[in-house]
Amino acid sequence: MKILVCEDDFMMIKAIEHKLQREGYQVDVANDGRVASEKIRGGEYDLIITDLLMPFTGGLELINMTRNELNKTTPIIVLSKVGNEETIIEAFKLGADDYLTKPFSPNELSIRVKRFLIKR
Amino acid sequence: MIQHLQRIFSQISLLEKTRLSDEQAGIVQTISDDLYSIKELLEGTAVVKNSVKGSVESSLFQGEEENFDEQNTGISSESVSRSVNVLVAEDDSINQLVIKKHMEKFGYKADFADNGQDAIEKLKSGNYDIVLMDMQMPVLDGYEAIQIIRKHLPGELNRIPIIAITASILSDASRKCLDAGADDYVPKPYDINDLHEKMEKWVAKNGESVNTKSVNNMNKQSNDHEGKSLIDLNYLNQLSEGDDEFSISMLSYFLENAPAVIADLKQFYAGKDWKNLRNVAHKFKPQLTFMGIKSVFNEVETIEQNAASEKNTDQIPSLIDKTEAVCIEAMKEIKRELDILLEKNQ
Repeated sequence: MKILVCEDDFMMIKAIEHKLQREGYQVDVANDGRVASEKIRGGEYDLIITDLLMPFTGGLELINMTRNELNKTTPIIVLSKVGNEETIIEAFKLGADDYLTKPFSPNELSIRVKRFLIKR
Repeated sequence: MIQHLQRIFSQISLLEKTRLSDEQAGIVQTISDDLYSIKELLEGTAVVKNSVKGSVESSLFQGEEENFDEQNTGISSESVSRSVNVLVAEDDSINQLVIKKHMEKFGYKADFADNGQDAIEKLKSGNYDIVLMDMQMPVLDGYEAIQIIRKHLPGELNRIPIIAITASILSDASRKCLDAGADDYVPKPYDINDLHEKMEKWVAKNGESVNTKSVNNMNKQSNDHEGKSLIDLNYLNQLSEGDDEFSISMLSYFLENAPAVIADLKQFYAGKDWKNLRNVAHKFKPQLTFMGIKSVFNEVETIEQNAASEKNTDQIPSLIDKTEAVCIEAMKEIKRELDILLEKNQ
């Protein structure tokens, strides 16, 4: 099971990666939106976890691109500090499958991730 | 104030005559309902309208005011023979009005402070019997204000009963308030009977101890509020799940990175580079969360917001100073934690 984590904050990456690796997932990291879009274009991931506020390409744009340009159905979980209704709805409209706000609960992240990976 | 409200009402009635969508009409209705609540409060004719969605009062306390009954609490106002002077530290002016009403109902006299700093200054007068402290306030929040009151106010002033009010939904909110030095705690929205009961209890208790105050004073000086930690590694420990290597890398990163962040904050402020100042403050927040340095979280957020809006930028230097001062102390604690982990994993 391979998960792409799109996130630019060092400690946040460490925290997410740590939790996912403990759960036995293979984790790949993209430090900004541009790298993330290249990785999604080229790689096969079972799940994408993305921040919204990232350099170059923001998370919403990344979701839009994944769904409409690359036509990929890879499940996407948004993990963001931004928690307003408008943004959450926009993310879902563009094709996000789940939304978690920071600071995140490690156990909640793990259970949500599991849900998507079992379904596939 | 009433005049201003009347003017808003007349504007709203003009607005209602124009053609509005259902959604717009709904919003106008809500605003108008809230304004009525405010007007009633100002005029002293407040009646709780639980039916009004998002009404001013329901945002502050639960339960129907009709249910408020002195007999219910088992304590009547007469049990405290003298008048009770309350200092209420609360920054929101609407909440101030509502609390003022409630204090009148209890037969208390209320004064208000807009932030923690203001509260400390007012307390120095020695005119108060009890403090109601909202924990989330600008300039100096309730947690810090209580610590300062307990540690630094002279003589009997530092032992005034303090009831913390907090909207925090975290399960350990009450413990945090008590840790900070509050005597008691009510959640926000509060239950009016619960608040009354607690206030009566603490005012009475403090009255009893007046006689023994001078004796206890000497011992109380070295109180148990000292040596409180500025960091809280519960979240980090939850994430690490016992993996010390992970904790070590997070703690080390903070120690390496935080001084640079503080330097950046200062430099970008000096250069009036609001965009970068905002970004640096924004990115510092998760780091504070991982280290559990909660006492400057609001400050860093305010720096971010003020830089983003380019408003009140003159407040930023003192916010940066406070952030720096707290981080320096917090880093000493983090270093100690890190050393323990490193030693264990040699």
